[in-house]
Amino acid sequence: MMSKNKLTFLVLFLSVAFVLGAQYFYAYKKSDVASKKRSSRSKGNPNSPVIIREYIDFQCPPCAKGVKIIDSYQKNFPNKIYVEIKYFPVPKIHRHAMLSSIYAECAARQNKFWPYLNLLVKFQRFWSKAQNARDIFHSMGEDTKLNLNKLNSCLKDDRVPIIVQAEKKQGKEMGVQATPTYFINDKMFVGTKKLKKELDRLLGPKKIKENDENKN
Amino acid sequence: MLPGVLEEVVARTFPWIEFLLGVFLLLGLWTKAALKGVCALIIGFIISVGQALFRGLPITSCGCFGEMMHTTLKGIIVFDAVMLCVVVLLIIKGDSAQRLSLDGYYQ
Repeated sequence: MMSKNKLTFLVLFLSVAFVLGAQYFYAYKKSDVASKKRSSRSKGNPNSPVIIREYIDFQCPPCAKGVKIIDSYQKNFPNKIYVEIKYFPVPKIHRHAMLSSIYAECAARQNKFWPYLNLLVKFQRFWSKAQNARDIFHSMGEDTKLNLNKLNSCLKDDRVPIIVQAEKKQGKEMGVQATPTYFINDKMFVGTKKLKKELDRLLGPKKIKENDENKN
Repeated sequence: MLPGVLEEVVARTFPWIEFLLGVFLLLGLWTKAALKGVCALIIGFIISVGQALFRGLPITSCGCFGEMMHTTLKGIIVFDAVMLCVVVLLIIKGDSAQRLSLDGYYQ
């Protein structure tokens, strides 16, 4: 058996190592969880010179156009744009706004937000006119290969609409009144024209021609 | 109660001291020294909480156990006084309770 003094130093060393290890692990887990939450509805390099936070109603046509615009700028200027989507459904105008947000959030929980968003945007005109869009949103879930059991659980989760409403409330507090509203480097711009103008100002005009956006 | 820099030093070092004293008490290693250290900490804490009460500082809860327990300052002084009595008793009578301790092994 080791001497008492040696044992004392060992106990001290192990105790300090345990606490520091636990602190490091906790900090890592916290940043990992935070980054996963952030990354599920964000795209691009968070250290990009252009940071866009978009408040979106998925049934709003200019919002769909805005998604395509940002996508084309991101392709044109790789690593220059970071975009994060925030929910701002306006159910008074768009009857499927809330449901589409809920489905999008459920897709985000399976890290499939962006493929799902692309389908929402691509088929927006179609599902916007539907009386009941639930089946359409569900089939989009199948197309993006969502785990349907997890999707169904998520749809029953009361916290999901609360999350959506909380983001909308946050947007209102920041002055959002209509969609799409963009915060580009913390400055507010409403509508896609102002979005493009600001992106051109910050990054220079896009090399892809105007009509290429309409092809997407 | 303390000047700014000293407050910072105390805030950063005391949790470590408390934790290490607790480890040594649990293991029964250098038990008497650990008990004396705990005794000094408790006395220091009673003094600092007592002076806050005496000065009528606007502190409703000491935050001693974080979110787990909400105790008033008077409540924490009573609690610490009871702990102090237990610690002093252990210091006096501790030699006869060393069977499962590492100190007992090394004697």
